[in-house]
Amino acid sequence: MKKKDLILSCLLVTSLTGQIANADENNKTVDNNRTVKGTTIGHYQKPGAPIDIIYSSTRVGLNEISDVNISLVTTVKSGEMEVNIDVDKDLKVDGENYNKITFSLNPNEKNYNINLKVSGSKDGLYYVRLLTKMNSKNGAKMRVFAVPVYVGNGKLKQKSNQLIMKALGGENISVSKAQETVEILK
Amino acid sequence: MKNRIYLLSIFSILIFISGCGEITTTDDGTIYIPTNTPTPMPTVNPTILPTSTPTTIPTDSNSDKGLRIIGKITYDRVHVKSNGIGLDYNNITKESAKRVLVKLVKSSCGTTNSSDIIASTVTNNSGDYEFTNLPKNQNAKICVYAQMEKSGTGGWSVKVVDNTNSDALYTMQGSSFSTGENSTRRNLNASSGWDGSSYSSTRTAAPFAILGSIYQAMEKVISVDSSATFPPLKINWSIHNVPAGYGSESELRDGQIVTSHYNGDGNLYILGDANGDTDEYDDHIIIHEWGHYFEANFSRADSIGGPHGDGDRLDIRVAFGEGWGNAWSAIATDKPIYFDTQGIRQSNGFSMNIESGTSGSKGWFSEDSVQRILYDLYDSHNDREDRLSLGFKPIYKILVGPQKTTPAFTSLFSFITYLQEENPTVSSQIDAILADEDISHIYDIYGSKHANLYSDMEQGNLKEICTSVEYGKRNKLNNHKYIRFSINRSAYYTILVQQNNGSGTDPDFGIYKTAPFEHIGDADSSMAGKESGRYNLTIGNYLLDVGDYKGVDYACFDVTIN
Repeated sequence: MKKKDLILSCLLVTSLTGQIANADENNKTVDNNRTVKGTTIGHYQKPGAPIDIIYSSTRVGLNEISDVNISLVTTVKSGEMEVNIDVDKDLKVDGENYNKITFSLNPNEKNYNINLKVSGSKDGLYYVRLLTKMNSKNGAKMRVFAVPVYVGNGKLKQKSNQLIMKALGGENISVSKAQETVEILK
Repeated sequence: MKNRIYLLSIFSILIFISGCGEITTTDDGTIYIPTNTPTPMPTVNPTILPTSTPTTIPTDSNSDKGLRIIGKITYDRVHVKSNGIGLDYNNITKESAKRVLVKLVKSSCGTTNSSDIIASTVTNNSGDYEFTNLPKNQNAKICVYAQMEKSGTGGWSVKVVDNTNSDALYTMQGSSFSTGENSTRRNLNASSGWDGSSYSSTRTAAPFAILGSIYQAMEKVISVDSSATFPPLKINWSIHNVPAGYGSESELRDGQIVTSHYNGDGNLYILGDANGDTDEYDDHIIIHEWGHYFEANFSRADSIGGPHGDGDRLDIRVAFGEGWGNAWSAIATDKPIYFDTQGIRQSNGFSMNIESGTSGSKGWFSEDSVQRILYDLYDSHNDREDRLSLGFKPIYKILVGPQKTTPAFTSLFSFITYLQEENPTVSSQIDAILADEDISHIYDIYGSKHANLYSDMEQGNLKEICTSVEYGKRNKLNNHKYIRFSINRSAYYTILVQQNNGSGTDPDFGIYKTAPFEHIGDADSSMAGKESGRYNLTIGNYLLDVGDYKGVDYACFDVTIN
């Protein structure tokens, strides 16, 4: 898989990508169970870089290509926005795979777009992760986003080795093992 | 309003996934037992780490307590690097798990039979537990739950569950053993699961680290109010919790929690996505979000939420809420360096100094200014114009007192007004701290001489207000304007907000009664250019919060109440 760093102006990227900026900013919806949309705009965010996301991805079958459209939105008008992209290992990127993009921010642009095409050969819920970074007077600030890609049954795979049991009162408990030391008191 | 406080008022609290009646094993070997099975028992015994060979220590001076098991419960805490960027896996300490529930059971932590529980207790503030007068030669196992319970006045109820796995309460267990005939010390530690390059085993420590941060926050409150009683809090943490989604019920079950946040309804959601964003060791973030729980339950939070960041000129309610959260994280920990670790191997991230950081904007609209002011009021370190060391008690007293009942929206204006009223002898020092943030003396709870945010109207008359998006949309300064009005006769009233300078707006409004402060309702249809609502209003004073959802550059509205 080819990976390289890339510095692109926002205009170039905008010209390369689709019209995600026109996506409904206010609702996460699934169109005909095929397209998953989401955004952080208008919602609480923990402290961090002043960046929002609008995204969409197509829900696909095994080995089908999902079109992932990402628009990073900021009102910051100067400086740079670094974006490190990390794709789940079970997703294959179709075409060139950029692991880092740097956008030059400008006063006339708020939306900085990224388009990826990915596919997977195993059922599951996967993610494209974006680690964004922006400098400010108070130092660098960062924010992480994850864009879901549903492949096949699209179900979350539990990765932990914890047992689920019922406890007194019917409550579920998730049990893992402790590191234990023992001394005899005499 | 469409942008309601915090994300997720629509969430269900309890999510139970129906099982399909079969025991399944996932690709990675995880065993899943359907939770709707009446009394499921694991078909495979969990693999227990080899217990170290018992060593003998000299004398048990507590022979009057019969056969005992004592010990200490700890968890791995991974600290942040000294530069505040990234977790330092070479700096892991074992911290005491305070006030957590510990049970001695006959065979399985998952028992549903009370007779299988031999004894139950909670750890003390050193993480120590003790079981006394135990039966001899009894098969047993120690279970430690990520749960803190103390009933009654001054009590709390906090637990950490897996929102992606049937809301299961995180639990760690020791090995199976016989109580024998001699008392023993059994120390249990929750491991981070880090193997030097990745989380290769269960992150058992994470839920206990989260509880440790929560208890630290509660201890700070208890230190100034020993009778403080904490409403139940459920913390939803999972290794699958990612910053994605919109927060629907199904998304939360998949771990798409948008961000670490308090949902306004007794639930904290904390990120846990390794190589993306994990927050279990980012104590300032956990305590910041807990600060929103505190606001909602002990004080009052009028924040309308939404994105916020360094240099923003925010709606005064958002600026205070977020500034409070950041300041509180520094106050509770007595550490002014706020950090958020992220990225591959949690090696990246950022930090900011709550006390001395600079920002692109100073003022009563800035969360950075609010956090610096609150922390300077609290701390004993004199810097810049800060010569005041109030400690937490005067701040707490305002937050749970007049700030909770203020007839204005909660903001720096209301907080400082009450603080100076309560502490007149230090008023000049407070003004000096404000001046350091380019804020002149605050005269009243509405910030009358600072901003033109509030205006008055007479019922039956027409009032014009204007909003703008000069500083951004939705939750920024001047996106909302507030109108004060009085009702002298209880009746149904129609409130109409109509654009008077062109078209393109989608006005919304919220209405609040001020004493006692109560949210009466919202009118937030998608009607172009106007909004209306009919309300049964009783005698009293009210606030109207008017904004333009579309965010037209400069919009003016005629407001009438008839």
